[in-house]
Amino acid sequence: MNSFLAIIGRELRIGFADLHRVVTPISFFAVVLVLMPLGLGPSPQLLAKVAPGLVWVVALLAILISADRLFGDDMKEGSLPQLMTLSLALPWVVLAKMLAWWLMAMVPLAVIAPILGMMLGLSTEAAVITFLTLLIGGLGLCLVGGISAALTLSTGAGGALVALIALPLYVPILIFGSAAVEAASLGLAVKPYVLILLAFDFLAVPLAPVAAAAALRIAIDD
Amino acid sequence: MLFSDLNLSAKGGELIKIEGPNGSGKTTLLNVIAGLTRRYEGELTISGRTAPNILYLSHALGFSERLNVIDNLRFIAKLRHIDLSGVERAIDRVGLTLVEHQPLKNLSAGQRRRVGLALLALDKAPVILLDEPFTAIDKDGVQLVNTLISERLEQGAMVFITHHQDLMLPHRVLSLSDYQVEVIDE
Repeated sequence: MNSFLAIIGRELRIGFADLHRVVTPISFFAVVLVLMPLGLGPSPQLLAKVAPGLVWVVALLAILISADRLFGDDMKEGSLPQLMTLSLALPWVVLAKMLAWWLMAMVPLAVIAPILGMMLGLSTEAAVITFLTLLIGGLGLCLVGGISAALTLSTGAGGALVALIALPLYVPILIFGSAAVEAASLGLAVKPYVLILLAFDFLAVPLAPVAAAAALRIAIDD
Repeated sequence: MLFSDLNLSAKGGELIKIEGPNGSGKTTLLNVIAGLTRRYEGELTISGRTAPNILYLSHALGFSERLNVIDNLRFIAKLRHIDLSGVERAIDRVGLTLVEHQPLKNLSAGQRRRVGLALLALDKAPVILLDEPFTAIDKDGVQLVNTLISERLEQGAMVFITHHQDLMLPHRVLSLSDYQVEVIDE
Protein backbone atom coordinates (compact mmCIF):
# COMPACT_ATOMS: atom_id res chain seq x y z
CA MET A 1 0.00 0.00 0.00
CA ASN A 2 2.89 2.35 0.83
CA SER A 3 4.44 1.76 -2.60
CA PHE A 4 1.07 2.35 -4.25
CA LEU A 5 0.66 5.69 -2.43
CA ALA A 6 4.29 6.58 -3.14
CA ILE A 7 3.65 6.24 -6.89
CA ILE A 8 0.55 8.46 -6.66
CA GLY A 9 2.59 10.99 -4.64
CA ARG A 10 5.38 10.95 -7.21
CA GLU A 11 2.98 11.51 -10.10
CA LEU A 12 1.37 14.46 -8.31
CA ARG A 13 4.79 15.92 -7.54
CA ILE A 14 5.82 15.59 -11.20
CA GLY A 15 2.51 17.17 -12.23
CA PHE A 16 3.09 20.20 -10.04
CA ALA A 17 6.75 20.44 -11.11
CA ASP A 18 5.58 20.48 -14.74
CA LEU A 19 2.44 22.61 -14.41
CA HIS A 20 1.47 22.73 -18.08
CA ARG A 21 0.70 19.01 -17.78
CA VAL A 22 -2.06 19.89 -15.31
CA VAL A 23 -3.10 23.21 -16.80
CA THR A 24 -3.41 22.18 -20.48
CA PRO A 25 -6.59 20.03 -20.20
CA ILE A 26 -8.25 22.51 -17.84
CA SER A 27 -7.49 25.52 -20.00
CA PHE A 28 -8.62 23.66 -23.15
CA PHE A 29 -11.88 22.77 -21.38
CA ALA A 30 -12.48 26.33 -20.15
CA VAL A 31 -11.53 28.06 -23.41
CA VAL A 32 -13.75 25.83 -25.59
CA LEU A 33 -16.76 26.25 -23.29
CA VAL A 34 -16.25 30.03 -23.04
CA LEU A 35 -15.99 30.33 -26.82
CA MET A 36 -19.03 28.16 -27.48
CA PRO A 37 -21.67 30.90 -26.99
CA LEU A 38 -19.77 33.02 -29.51
CA GLY A 39 -20.05 30.26 -32.10
CA LEU A 40 -23.55 29.03 -31.32
CA GLY A 41 -25.14 32.41 -30.64
CA PRO A 42 -26.28 33.99 -27.40
CA SER A 43 -29.73 32.30 -27.22
CA PRO A 44 -30.08 31.09 -23.56
CA GLN A 45 -32.53 28.34 -24.58
CA LEU A 46 -30.17 26.92 -27.18
CA LEU A 47 -27.15 27.04 -24.85
CA ALA A 48 -29.07 25.43 -21.97
CA LYS A 49 -30.24 22.67 -24.33
CA VAL A 50 -26.77 21.80 -25.66
CA ALA A 51 -24.89 22.41 -22.39
CA PRO A 52 -25.11 18.83 -20.94
CA GLY A 53 -23.69 17.18 -24.05
CA LEU A 54 -21.27 19.99 -24.72
CA VAL A 55 -19.69 19.91 -21.26
CA TRP A 56 -19.23 16.16 -21.47
CA VAL A 57 -17.80 16.12 -25.02
CA VAL A 58 -15.30 18.86 -24.22
CA ALA A 59 -14.29 17.14 -20.94
CA LEU A 60 -13.70 13.91 -22.84
CA LEU A 61 -11.53 15.65 -25.45
CA ALA A 62 -9.63 17.54 -22.73
CA ILE A 63 -8.71 14.25 -21.06
CA LEU A 64 -7.57 12.75 -24.36
CA ILE A 65 -5.13 15.64 -24.85
CA SER A 66 -3.05 14.51 -21.90
CA ALA A 67 -3.47 10.75 -22.37
CA ASP A 68 -0.31 10.01 -24.34
CA ARG A 69 1.89 11.54 -21.60
CA LEU A 70 0.62 9.06 -19.04
CA PHE A 71 3.35 6.55 -19.86
CA GLY A 72 5.30 8.43 -22.55
CA ASP A 73 7.63 10.33 -20.21
CA ASP A 74 8.26 7.25 -18.06
CA MET A 75 9.16 5.26 -21.14
CA LYS A 76 11.55 7.97 -22.35
CA GLU A 77 13.23 8.33 -18.96
CA GLY A 78 13.45 4.59 -18.31
CA SER A 79 11.23 4.71 -15.20
CA LEU A 80 8.93 1.97 -16.47
CA PRO A 81 11.63 -0.73 -16.58
CA GLN A 82 12.77 0.48 -13.14
CA LEU A 83 9.21 0.14 -11.82
CA MET A 84 8.91 -3.31 -13.37
CA THR A 85 11.80 -4.64 -11.29
CA LEU A 86 9.93 -3.88 -8.04
CA SER A 87 8.03 -6.33 -5.91
CA LEU A 88 4.83 -4.33 -6.60
CA ALA A 89 2.98 -5.95 -9.51
CA LEU A 90 2.84 -3.84 -12.67
CA PRO A 91 -1.01 -3.55 -12.73
CA TRP A 92 -0.83 -1.84 -9.32
CA VAL A 93 1.80 0.57 -10.64
CA VAL A 94 -0.45 1.29 -13.63
CA LEU A 95 -3.54 1.77 -11.43
CA ALA A 96 -1.63 4.23 -9.22
CA LYS A 97 -0.61 6.23 -12.30
CA MET A 98 -4.16 6.23 -13.66
CA LEU A 99 -5.59 7.41 -10.31
CA ALA A 100 -2.99 10.19 -10.12
CA TRP A 101 -3.95 11.26 -13.65
CA TRP A 102 -7.60 11.31 -12.59
CA LEU A 103 -6.72 13.44 -9.54
CA MET A 104 -4.65 15.89 -11.59
CA ALA A 105 -6.75 16.18 -14.74
CA MET A 106 -10.31 15.07 -14.04
CA VAL A 107 -10.94 16.37 -10.52
CA PRO A 108 -10.07 20.01 -11.42
CA LEU A 109 -12.26 19.67 -14.56
CA ALA A 110 -15.15 18.39 -12.45
CA VAL A 111 -14.71 21.35 -10.10
CA ILE A 112 -14.82 24.06 -12.78
CA ALA A 113 -17.38 22.31 -15.00
CA PRO A 114 -20.46 23.31 -12.92
CA ILE A 115 -19.42 26.98 -13.03
CA LEU A 116 -18.94 26.91 -16.79
CA GLY A 117 -22.11 24.82 -17.17
CA MET A 118 -24.13 27.39 -15.24
CA MET A 119 -22.66 30.08 -17.47
CA LEU A 120 -24.18 28.14 -20.39
CA GLY A 121 -27.55 28.00 -18.62
CA LEU A 122 -27.48 24.76 -16.60
CA SER A 123 -29.65 24.77 -13.48
CA THR A 124 -28.04 24.41 -10.05
CA GLU A 125 -29.23 20.78 -9.81
CA ALA A 126 -27.80 19.99 -13.25
CA ALA A 127 -24.53 21.70 -12.30
CA VAL A 128 -24.23 19.52 -9.18
CA ILE A 129 -24.89 16.39 -11.27
CA THR A 130 -22.29 17.59 -13.80
CA PHE A 131 -19.72 17.67 -10.99
CA LEU A 132 -20.74 14.26 -9.69
CA THR A 133 -20.90 12.50 -13.07
CA LEU A 134 -17.61 13.99 -14.25
CA LEU A 135 -15.96 12.69 -11.09
CA ILE A 136 -17.42 9.20 -11.49
CA GLY A 137 -17.42 8.96 -15.29
CA GLY A 138 -14.05 10.73 -15.42
CA LEU A 139 -12.45 7.84 -13.58
CA GLY A 140 -13.70 5.53 -16.34
CA LEU A 141 -12.31 7.93 -18.97
CA CYS A 142 -8.88 7.88 -17.29
CA LEU A 143 -8.84 4.09 -16.96
CA VAL A 144 -9.86 3.49 -20.58
CA GLY A 145 -7.54 6.28 -21.78
CA GLY A 146 -4.72 4.54 -19.91
CA ILE A 147 -5.26 1.31 -21.88
CA SER A 148 -5.19 3.27 -25.09
CA ALA A 149 -2.03 5.17 -24.08
CA ALA A 150 -0.29 1.89 -23.18
CA LEU A 151 -1.34 0.22 -26.44
CA THR A 152 0.07 3.04 -28.55
CA LEU A 153 3.27 3.51 -26.54
CA SER A 154 5.49 1.36 -28.73
CA THR A 155 4.19 2.93 -31.96
CA GLY A 156 5.40 6.41 -30.99
CA ALA A 157 2.31 7.75 -32.76
CA GLY A 158 0.42 8.82 -29.60
CA GLY A 159 -2.14 11.61 -30.09
CA ALA A 160 -4.58 10.66 -32.82
CA LEU A 161 -4.05 6.93 -32.37
CA VAL A 162 -4.81 7.16 -28.64
CA ALA A 163 -8.06 8.96 -29.50
CA LEU A 164 -8.95 6.45 -32.21
CA ILE A 165 -8.66 3.52 -29.80
CA ALA A 166 -10.22 5.23 -26.79
CA LEU A 167 -13.19 6.97 -28.41
CA PRO A 168 -15.36 3.89 -29.10
CA LEU A 169 -14.91 2.86 -25.45
CA TYR A 170 -15.71 6.39 -24.30
CA VAL A 171 -19.11 6.36 -26.02
CA PRO A 172 -21.10 4.61 -23.22
CA ILE A 173 -19.61 6.93 -20.58
CA LEU A 174 -20.41 9.95 -22.73
CA ILE A 175 -23.99 8.82 -23.35
CA PHE A 176 -24.82 8.08 -19.71
CA GLY A 177 -22.86 11.04 -18.32
CA SER A 178 -24.55 13.62 -20.53
CA ALA A 179 -27.93 11.88 -20.11
CA ALA A 180 -27.61 12.24 -16.33
CA VAL A 181 -27.00 15.99 -16.64
CA GLU A 182 -29.85 16.30 -19.17
CA ALA A 183 -32.19 14.40 -16.82
CA ALA A 184 -31.20 16.65 -13.91
CA SER A 185 -31.90 19.78 -15.97
CA LEU A 186 -35.36 18.37 -16.85
CA GLY A 187 -36.05 17.42 -13.23
CA LEU A 188 -36.01 13.67 -13.96
CA ALA A 189 -34.36 10.86 -11.95
CA VAL A 190 -30.57 10.70 -12.38
CA LYS A 191 -29.85 7.71 -10.16
CA PRO A 192 -29.98 5.05 -12.94
CA TYR A 193 -27.41 6.94 -15.03
CA VAL A 194 -25.11 7.49 -12.06
CA LEU A 195 -25.34 3.80 -11.15
CA ILE A 196 -24.41 2.77 -14.69
CA LEU A 197 -21.37 5.08 -14.56
CA LEU A 198 -20.41 3.54 -11.21
CA ALA A 199 -20.84 0.04 -12.66
CA PHE A 200 -18.48 0.99 -15.50
CA ASP A 201 -15.89 2.12 -12.92
CA PHE A 202 -16.28 -1.10 -10.93
CA LEU A 203 -15.53 -3.06 -14.09
CA ALA A 204 -12.73 -0.81 -15.28
CA VAL A 205 -10.80 -0.51 -11.96
CA PRO A 206 -9.74 -4.19 -11.87
CA LEU A 207 -9.60 -4.79 -15.64
CA ALA A 208 -8.05 -1.65 -17.16
CA PRO A 209 -4.74 -1.78 -15.20
CA VAL A 210 -4.25 -5.45 -16.14
CA ALA A 211 -4.87 -4.71 -19.83
CA ALA A 212 -2.64 -1.62 -19.79
CA ALA A 213 0.12 -3.50 -17.92
CA ALA A 214 0.07 -6.25 -20.56
CA ALA A 215 0.38 -3.61 -23.30
CA LEU A 216 3.26 -1.94 -21.43
CA ARG A 217 5.13 -5.23 -21.14
CA ILE A 218 4.87 -5.63 -24.93
CA ALA A 219 6.05 -2.03 -25.45
CA ILE A 220 9.08 -2.54 -23.18
CA ASP A 221 9.85 -5.91 -24.73
CA ASP A 222 9.99 -4.26 -28.16
CA MET B 1 16.29 -17.29 -31.08
CA LEU B 2 18.37 -15.14 -28.73
CA PHE B 3 21.15 -16.57 -26.61
CA SER B 4 20.78 -20.23 -27.54
CA ASP B 5 22.69 -22.62 -25.29
CA LEU B 6 23.42 -19.97 -22.71
CA ASN B 7 24.10 -21.74 -19.46
CA LEU B 8 25.46 -19.52 -16.78
CA SER B 9 25.58 -19.98 -13.08
CA ALA B 10 26.92 -17.39 -10.71
CA LYS B 11 27.14 -17.06 -6.97
CA GLY B 12 26.97 -14.23 -4.46
CA GLY B 13 30.03 -12.02 -4.34
CA GLU B 14 30.80 -12.68 -7.99
CA LEU B 15 31.31 -9.98 -10.61
CA ILE B 16 30.49 -10.87 -14.19
CA LYS B 17 31.41 -8.57 -17.04
CA ILE B 18 29.31 -8.91 -20.17
CA GLU B 19 31.27 -7.70 -23.14
CA GLY B 20 30.78 -7.57 -26.85
CA PRO B 21 30.42 -5.14 -29.77
CA ASN B 22 27.50 -2.75 -30.12
CA GLY B 23 24.29 -4.62 -30.87
CA SER B 24 25.62 -7.94 -29.62
CA GLY B 25 22.88 -8.25 -27.01
CA LYS B 26 24.52 -7.05 -23.77
CA THR B 27 21.60 -4.88 -22.69
CA THR B 28 19.11 -7.48 -23.91
CA LEU B 29 20.79 -10.06 -21.69
CA LEU B 30 20.52 -7.70 -18.71
CA ASN B 31 16.84 -7.19 -19.59
CA VAL B 32 16.35 -10.96 -19.59
CA ILE B 33 17.97 -11.26 -16.16
CA ALA B 34 15.88 -8.33 -14.88
CA GLY B 35 12.70 -10.00 -16.13
CA LEU B 36 11.89 -7.13 -18.50
CA THR B 37 11.65 -9.38 -21.51
CA ARG B 38 9.98 -12.75 -21.72
CA ARG B 39 11.15 -13.54 -25.19
CA TYR B 40 13.27 -16.47 -24.19
CA GLU B 41 12.89 -20.16 -23.62
CA GLY B 42 14.41 -21.93 -20.68
CA GLU B 43 14.67 -21.10 -17.05
CA LEU B 44 16.09 -18.22 -15.10
CA THR B 45 16.33 -18.64 -11.35
CA ILE B 46 18.32 -16.61 -8.89
CA SER B 47 18.76 -18.05 -5.40
CA GLY B 48 16.02 -20.49 -6.30
CA ARG B 49 13.57 -17.69 -7.07
CA THR B 50 12.24 -16.76 -10.48
CA ALA B 51 11.57 -13.13 -9.47
CA PRO B 52 14.35 -12.05 -7.10
CA ASN B 53 15.00 -8.58 -5.75
CA ILE B 54 17.11 -6.96 -8.47
CA LEU B 55 18.63 -3.50 -8.71
CA TYR B 56 18.91 -2.56 -12.38
CA LEU B 57 20.71 0.64 -13.28
CA SER B 58 19.97 0.76 -16.98
CA HIS B 59 21.42 3.23 -19.43
CA ALA B 60 18.31 5.43 -19.07
CA LEU B 61 18.60 5.25 -15.24
CA GLY B 62 14.84 5.53 -14.65
CA PHE B 63 14.65 8.80 -12.73
CA SER B 64 12.21 11.59 -13.46
CA GLU B 65 13.87 14.57 -15.14
CA ARG B 66 11.42 16.93 -13.45
CA LEU B 67 11.95 15.80 -9.88
CA ASN B 68 14.98 16.79 -7.84
CA VAL B 69 17.75 14.41 -6.77
CA ILE B 70 16.48 13.83 -3.26
CA ASP B 71 12.84 13.26 -4.29
CA ASN B 72 13.89 10.80 -7.00
CA LEU B 73 16.00 8.79 -4.56
CA ARG B 74 13.41 8.91 -1.77
CA PHE B 75 10.77 7.61 -4.19
CA ILE B 76 12.89 4.66 -5.32
CA ALA B 77 13.97 4.01 -1.70
CA LYS B 78 10.32 3.89 -0.59
CA LEU B 79 9.41 1.48 -3.38
CA ARG B 80 12.39 -0.72 -2.66
CA HIS B 81 11.72 -0.67 1.11
CA ILE B 82 15.04 0.99 1.89
CA ASP B 83 15.50 3.07 5.05
CA LEU B 84 14.98 6.71 3.97
CA SER B 85 17.50 7.97 6.52
CA GLY B 86 20.30 6.70 4.29
CA VAL B 87 19.29 8.81 1.28
CA GLU B 88 21.13 12.00 2.26
CA ARG B 89 24.22 10.01 3.26
CA ALA B 90 24.22 8.32 -0.16
CA ILE B 91 23.86 11.69 -1.91
CA ASP B 92 26.78 13.04 0.09
CA ARG B 93 28.84 9.99 -0.76
CA VAL B 94 28.45 10.49 -4.52
CA GLY B 95 29.18 14.22 -4.23
CA LEU B 96 25.76 15.61 -5.10
CA THR B 97 24.90 17.41 -1.83
CA LEU B 98 25.12 20.85 -3.46
CA VAL B 99 22.62 19.93 -6.18
CA GLU B 100 20.30 17.65 -4.19
CA HIS B 101 17.36 20.04 -4.60
CA GLN B 102 17.92 20.54 -8.34
CA PRO B 103 15.66 18.76 -10.84
CA LEU B 104 17.58 16.21 -12.86
CA LYS B 105 17.00 18.14 -16.08
CA ASN B 106 19.37 20.83 -14.70
CA LEU B 107 22.21 18.36 -14.02
CA SER B 108 25.03 17.30 -16.31
CA ALA B 109 25.14 13.77 -17.73
CA GLY B 110 27.86 12.83 -15.24
CA GLN B 111 25.87 14.16 -12.29
CA ARG B 112 22.80 12.21 -13.42
CA ARG B 113 24.90 9.10 -13.58
CA ARG B 114 26.01 9.81 -10.00
CA VAL B 115 22.35 9.80 -8.91
CA GLY B 116 22.28 6.19 -10.09
CA LEU B 117 25.45 5.56 -8.10
CA ALA B 118 23.72 6.94 -4.99
CA LEU B 119 21.11 4.23 -5.49
CA LEU B 120 23.89 1.65 -5.76
CA ALA B 121 25.25 2.93 -2.43
CA LEU B 122 21.80 2.84 -0.86
CA ASP B 123 20.26 -0.40 -2.10
CA LYS B 124 20.93 -3.83 -0.63
CA ALA B 125 19.56 -5.99 -3.48
CA PRO B 126 21.35 -9.33 -3.81
CA VAL B 127 21.52 -9.02 -7.60
CA ILE B 128 22.79 -5.88 -9.29
CA LEU B 129 22.70 -5.17 -13.02
CA LEU B 130 24.77 -2.24 -14.26
CA ASP B 131 24.49 -1.12 -17.86
CA GLU B 132 27.52 0.97 -18.78
CA PRO B 133 27.91 2.54 -15.31
CA PHE B 134 31.12 4.38 -16.28
CA THR B 135 29.47 6.39 -19.06
CA ALA B 136 29.92 10.17 -18.63
CA ILE B 137 31.74 9.61 -15.34
CA ASP B 138 34.95 11.52 -14.49
CA LYS B 139 38.14 10.04 -12.94
CA ASP B 140 36.90 10.34 -9.35
CA GLY B 141 33.63 8.81 -10.43
CA VAL B 142 35.41 5.79 -11.93
CA GLN B 143 37.11 5.19 -8.58
CA LEU B 144 33.76 5.62 -6.82
CA VAL B 145 32.00 3.09 -9.07
CA ASN B 146 34.73 0.54 -8.43
CA THR B 147 34.55 1.17 -4.66
CA LEU B 148 30.76 0.85 -4.57
CA ILE B 149 30.80 -2.37 -6.62
CA SER B 150 33.54 -3.77 -4.40
CA GLU B 151 31.49 -3.02 -1.26
CA ARG B 152 28.41 -4.67 -2.69
CA LEU B 153 30.44 -7.75 -3.68
CA GLU B 154 31.79 -7.98 -0.13
CA GLN B 155 28.20 -7.91 1.11
CA GLY B 156 27.53 -10.97 -1.06
CA ALA B 157 25.77 -9.36 -4.02
CA MET B 158 26.04 -10.82 -7.49
CA VAL B 159 26.90 -8.09 -10.00
CA PHE B 160 26.50 -8.12 -13.77
CA ILE B 161 28.05 -5.24 -15.65
CA THR B 162 28.30 -4.43 -19.34
CA HIS B 163 31.79 -3.91 -20.68
CA HIS B 164 34.09 -1.09 -19.84
CA GLN B 165 37.81 -0.82 -19.56
CA ASP B 166 37.55 1.19 -16.33
CA LEU B 167 36.48 -1.83 -14.31
CA MET B 168 39.40 -2.51 -11.92
CA LEU B 169 38.01 -5.44 -9.94
CA PRO B 170 38.56 -9.17 -10.56
CA HIS B 171 35.73 -10.56 -12.66
CA ARG B 172 34.51 -13.30 -14.99
CA VAL B 173 33.86 -12.43 -18.61
CA LEU B 174 30.84 -13.34 -20.67
CA SER B 175 31.55 -12.47 -24.27
CA LEU B 176 28.68 -11.95 -26.70
CA SER B 177 28.61 -11.65 -30.43
CA ASP B 178 25.40 -11.16 -32.40
CA TYR B 179 23.25 -12.46 -29.54
CA GLN B 180 25.37 -15.59 -29.22
CA VAL B 181 27.63 -16.45 -26.31
CA GLU B 182 31.18 -16.75 -27.51
CA VAL B 183 33.33 -17.26 -24.46
CA ILE B 184 32.71 -17.64 -20.80
CA ASP B 185 36.08 -16.96 -19.30
CA GLU B 186 36.51 -18.30 -15.81
